[in-house]
Amino acid sequence: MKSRPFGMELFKLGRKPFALLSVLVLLALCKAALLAVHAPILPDEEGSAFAYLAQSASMTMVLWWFLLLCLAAASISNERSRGILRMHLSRPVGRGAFLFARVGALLVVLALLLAADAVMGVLLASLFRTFGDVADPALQGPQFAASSMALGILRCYFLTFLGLAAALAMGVLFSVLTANPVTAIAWAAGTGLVMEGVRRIFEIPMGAYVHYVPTQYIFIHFEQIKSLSHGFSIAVPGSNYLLLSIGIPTAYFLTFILVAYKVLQRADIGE
Amino acid sequence: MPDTPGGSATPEDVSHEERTAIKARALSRKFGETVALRDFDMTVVRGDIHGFLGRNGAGKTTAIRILAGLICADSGRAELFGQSVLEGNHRVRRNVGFLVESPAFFSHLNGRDNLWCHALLMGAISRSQVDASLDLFGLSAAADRKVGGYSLGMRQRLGLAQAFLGDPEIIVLDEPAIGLDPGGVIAIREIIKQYSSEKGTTFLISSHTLGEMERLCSRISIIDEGSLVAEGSLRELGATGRITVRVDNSPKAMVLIEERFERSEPRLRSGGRIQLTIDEADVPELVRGLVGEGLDVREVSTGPAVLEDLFLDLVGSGGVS
Repeated sequence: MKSRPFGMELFKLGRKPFALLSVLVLLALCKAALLAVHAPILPDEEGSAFAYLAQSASMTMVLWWFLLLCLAAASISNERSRGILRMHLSRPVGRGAFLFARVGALLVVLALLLAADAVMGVLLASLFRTFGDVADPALQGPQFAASSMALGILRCYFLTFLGLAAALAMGVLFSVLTANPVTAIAWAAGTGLVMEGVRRIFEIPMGAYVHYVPTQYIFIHFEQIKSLSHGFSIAVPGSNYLLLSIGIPTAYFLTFILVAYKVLQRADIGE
Repeated sequence: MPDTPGGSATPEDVSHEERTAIKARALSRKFGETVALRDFDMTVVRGDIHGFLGRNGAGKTTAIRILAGLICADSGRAELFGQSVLEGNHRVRRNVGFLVESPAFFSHLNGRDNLWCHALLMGAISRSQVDASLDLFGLSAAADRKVGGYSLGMRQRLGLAQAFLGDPEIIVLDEPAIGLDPGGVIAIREIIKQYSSEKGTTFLISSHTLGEMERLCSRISIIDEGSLVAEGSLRELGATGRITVRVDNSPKAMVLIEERFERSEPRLRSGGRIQLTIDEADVPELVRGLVGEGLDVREVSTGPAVLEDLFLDLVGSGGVS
């Protein structure tokens, strides 16, 4: 007789096929528009599709972090304002289990989104560039290095997942801080923009040392991700950039979720 | 914070504990400067249909929200089946159905899917139990319609269906009759009576519909300004066995009744009615006495509004004349 909050979340997700489809259509349009503007200036030769795909992958963070932040910010506060949370939490389900189930569901959405994004990138790259024959020795040289590019693209998606997961966790934190979804979205969006603003401001005077500003690993680290996806890293004195790119978003994610858990445990529901 | 001192419990204590479904002891809760509950006590016996009455803002919903684990008390103890609800012990709600305030559901899901969400949160509830609950409240035909298109009454019935889902041992209902048509109110009353008599379900029902509560409840708790002001069966509270008399000269009749029926505790009610507690065998003598004094007796009844009068005696009308 075990409560299954995650089962409920997945059940709810499965009941929103049109919403998911709409997001995918939106994704296709946005991606195509962004790539049209930021298409890599490369000759359309064998293997150039990898560079195009890398460009597409590095744009994923830019494209989705704000939307996902707002979605996460509304996820619990909206149900709380409508009284649905009150109904659900009067069931034999712990608040922690409820929160973790919701975060799990949001991560599932994020994973689906990134998978769809990757498929979309491949489709667009196939349309506008040429993958060529990866067995061709020309594609195994230092110029394109198909396998290295593919690995870089996967790494890019992985880092994007971590960064967006941190953004989702921040949205969830704001979502449990208030019962008003508009307030939660405004706070989350405002904080996200401030964090990005701080990163950009520090970027100028700090130069390479901007990599010590943690927020730059979370929001719109467009150039860094693009660099990583191309298979080379930015040198940070005395540090491992890749390790930081994994560790800092994970630390942000865990911290936001832990604080959200503590806040939700103490919250009055149904006020 | 234990509510009994240490030491071994007597068999009577154990028996009493076993019979108690819901217990609140010295519950206090403030919202800012507003005191919602002040040392509130309540005991609901297993199998009872227990009415929970109070004016708007008296603290009923706060007490129910504490029982449902939605808010914490500042101090005191609340128990379901002898287990505290105050320490985040959500498992204690496994056999309890709640309808706290107005029901709310996902408007993009249909009625059946919404109940299935609750079933998943409860665990071990089958699809057939969901359908049975929908059927119980006459929602089978609308089960596949999106809840966004439901009327207020249908939402209320769906809220009741989720509270009854899985046949819990305790069902707590906050204003269950809101939005229901008269037929719906009667149907709910019959379902509650049926569950109480056939399954032994314990009910705690908060409502302002005093006539309905009088028909339904075996025991009553009355709360005012956050504290319990009365608790017991209707008879214990003096809400039954009362006679209502309406005469043409109420003040004169009051004097006469106080002289001849010393222990009848007559009270002057609205519309010139006098309410008193005497045996039915004494009613002819009362009428003869009043007529003998030249009073015109217009009505003698054991009227259904006695709970209303008791309520007004205890908590007043809240400034509404």
